[in-house]
Amino acid sequence: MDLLASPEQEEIAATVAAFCAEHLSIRQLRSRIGEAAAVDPATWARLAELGWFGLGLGADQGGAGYSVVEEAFMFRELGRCLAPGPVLGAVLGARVAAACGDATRCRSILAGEALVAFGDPDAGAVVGPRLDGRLLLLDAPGSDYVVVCDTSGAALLAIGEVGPLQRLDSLDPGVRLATAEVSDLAPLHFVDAATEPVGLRAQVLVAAEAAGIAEATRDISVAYALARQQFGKPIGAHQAVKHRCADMAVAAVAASAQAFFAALALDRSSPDAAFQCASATFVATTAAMGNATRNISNHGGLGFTWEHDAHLYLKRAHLLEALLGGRAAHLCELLDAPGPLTV
Amino acid sequence: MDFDFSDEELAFREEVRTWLAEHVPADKAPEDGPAMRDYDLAWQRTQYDGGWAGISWPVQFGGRGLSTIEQLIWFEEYARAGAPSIGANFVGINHAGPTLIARASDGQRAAHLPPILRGDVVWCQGFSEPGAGSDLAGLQTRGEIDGDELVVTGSKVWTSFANLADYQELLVRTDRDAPKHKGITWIICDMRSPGIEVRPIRTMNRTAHFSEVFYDEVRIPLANVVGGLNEGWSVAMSTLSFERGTGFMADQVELARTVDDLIALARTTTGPDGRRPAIADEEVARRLATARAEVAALRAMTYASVSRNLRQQTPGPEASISKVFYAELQQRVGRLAMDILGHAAFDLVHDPLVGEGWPAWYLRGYGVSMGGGTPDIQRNIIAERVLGLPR
Ligand SMILES: Cc1cc2nc3c(=O)[nH]c(=O)nc-3n(C[C@H](O)[C@H](O)[C@H](O)COP(=O)(O)OP(=O)(O)OC[C@H]3O[C@@H](n4cnc5c(N)ncnc54)[C@H](O)[C@@H]3O)c2cc1C
Repeated sequence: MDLLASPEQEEIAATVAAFCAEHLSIRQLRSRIGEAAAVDPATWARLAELGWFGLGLGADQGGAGYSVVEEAFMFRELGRCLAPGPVLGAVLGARVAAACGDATRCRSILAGEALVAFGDPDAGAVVGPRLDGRLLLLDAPGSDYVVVCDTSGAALLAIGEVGPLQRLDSLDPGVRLATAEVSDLAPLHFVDAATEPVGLRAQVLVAAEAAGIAEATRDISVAYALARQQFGKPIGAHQAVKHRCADMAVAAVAASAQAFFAALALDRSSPDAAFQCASATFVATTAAMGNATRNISNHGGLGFTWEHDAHLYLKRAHLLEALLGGRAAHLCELLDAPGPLTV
Repeated sequence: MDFDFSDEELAFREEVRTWLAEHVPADKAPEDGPAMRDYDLAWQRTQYDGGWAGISWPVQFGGRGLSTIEQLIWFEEYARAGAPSIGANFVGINHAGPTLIARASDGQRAAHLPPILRGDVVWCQGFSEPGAGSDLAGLQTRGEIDGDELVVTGSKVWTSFANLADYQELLVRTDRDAPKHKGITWIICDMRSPGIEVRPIRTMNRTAHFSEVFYDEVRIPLANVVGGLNEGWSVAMSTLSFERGTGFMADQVELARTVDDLIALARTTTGPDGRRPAIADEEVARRLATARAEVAALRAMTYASVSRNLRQQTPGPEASISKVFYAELQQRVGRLAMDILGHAAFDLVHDPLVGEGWPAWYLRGYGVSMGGGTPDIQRNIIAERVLGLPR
């Protein structure tokens, strides 16, 4: 038992962080506001080349042969810098294709040739061999496919199969949002959660991304608390600010610890994996929301501006919290799923 | 990163589980007084006879010398078995013993460690004073050297189990001219020394958990000084770093069990509508689910600190993070228990078979969060020592 990163995992995280700082930073996010796609094709091709989309897929499926744990390390870094682009869609879409034996589509997703939007089902939507209901689509423009999942299973469908896209004036300027309706649609592929728990994987990756937001906002607040002076001392010496930062540290540590614990549980198919994953999503998105909020407080008037990044973290935290059925859905699972002491 | 236990660790878990199943007492601990002392010492003796005394203590000092990971397994099984909380043995096993191991002379160790392990003696911790709580280094109880004795005058307060204790780890000011952290001495005080008066203080929970202790020219042999005259601050800090390390692992693991117990209670107790079980109430269900998720995170944090501990040995200030998380969560769970119980929450039961009831457990949380440094002080530690913010 060792819950700390191995040197190899640290290296994966460092590589992702370095690439993001150069090519997927908030500066780039901002410069592409108004562009059709979140990421330019050349950068997307680089991500594919680096093997990001198949990190957790076996080598026989064109992946790097790591697990959901390494994927979680990647998503935590993506969360830290609010990396734009449909990486979640690509990772989950390739997995559904692979699980359904569709090597061709899997490889084209891994190669970055086909893009996959993540389709989040509204409450009441049905995910199964036939899909029904409303979806919130993340980064649909330019996508070829949509991946939809919940705890019962996951589907891959062609973007043309979903009804006309209703573009939203997205609250989160880093993600292009749209809604679409599907009714009684047979997707290209459907895989049952018992065969391939894509929904739980989505929970872990969203949790890791949220943990990244909780950490980044903590770090941004601490840096500002050291730099900004009021009443003749750094604001971090004032206990209200100091304690807010301490609370941010507590929330961030809890979020990361549980996200990785869940990743390990899923990787091992532990009997309490569903419980651990739901806990991770709940704890980490709560931490992301809490820390994004505190980060705004710590910045005073600056925190309310468009120019400062604080609102971008807040908006992404809101989006992550609303995905996968939102808090209510996680909480339902949490109560009934077998936990660590009952297994 | 992995969370598989090795074959040896799994075999160890089996051994622990079997032993606990055969030895955990059927009756629950009395809430205070001599009956509690007897109960807690008897349980310590049982563990000693089974080879389970001082699980974290090195073997050379009579302990079991378990690795941090084995301690974790022990505490998990301990919670699962519903074994008694450490009670009056807390200071001896978790504070005074480890401090003696770290800083005492061979003679002091030989005299004091075996009786702690055997369950012969109870220790208490005389640190806090009326004028020195969070600001512990401001303590004023005086120790004047007279020949080969230290003559102690002053008072301590909030001393847990002082009324049941044989010995005390006592902090006194031996140099009033030195800067406040420099003039303190850590000394072993026999609680039966003439001039000591112990006045139990009733807690909000009605128990006599802690006491005021008055010292009127109490003569303590200088040979009882641990770590050298005026070195007491660093000696005391070696205890606190232990307390912030594995000392709270048991509580953290126990809380997971408590939340599952509370969920079971919510399934059988009638809820706010007077018809359905409490768990059918949406608000109750949400709060229970939230607690369950947060307890999972607490466990993950505990596992992460154990992992860090295995790599780095000494516990760092990061333990304050778990402590803040734990203290707040424990209080929320207690509040929730009160809400689930409804009118039954007003019956402060204590049953020798069932033990402390939910209302008493809830009330106890107000004290638990304060021992070993209040949440505010923990936040200062996190901000200054983990995040690097200015004092
Ligand atoms: C159940 C229980 C058992 C205990 N057992 C023992 C024992 O066995 N031995 C022993 O020596 N002591 C014991 N204590 C004492 C405990 O360590 C102190 O109560 C604690 O350190 C706080 O000190 P205080 O009570 O003087 O409160 P104070 O220090 O006066 O604090 C009052 C309030 O002010 C806040 N505060 C103080 N300073 C700061 C600051 N710098 N920044 C922000 N907030 C601040 C505190 O957080 C608190 O909210 C026990 C306490 C309890 C409740």
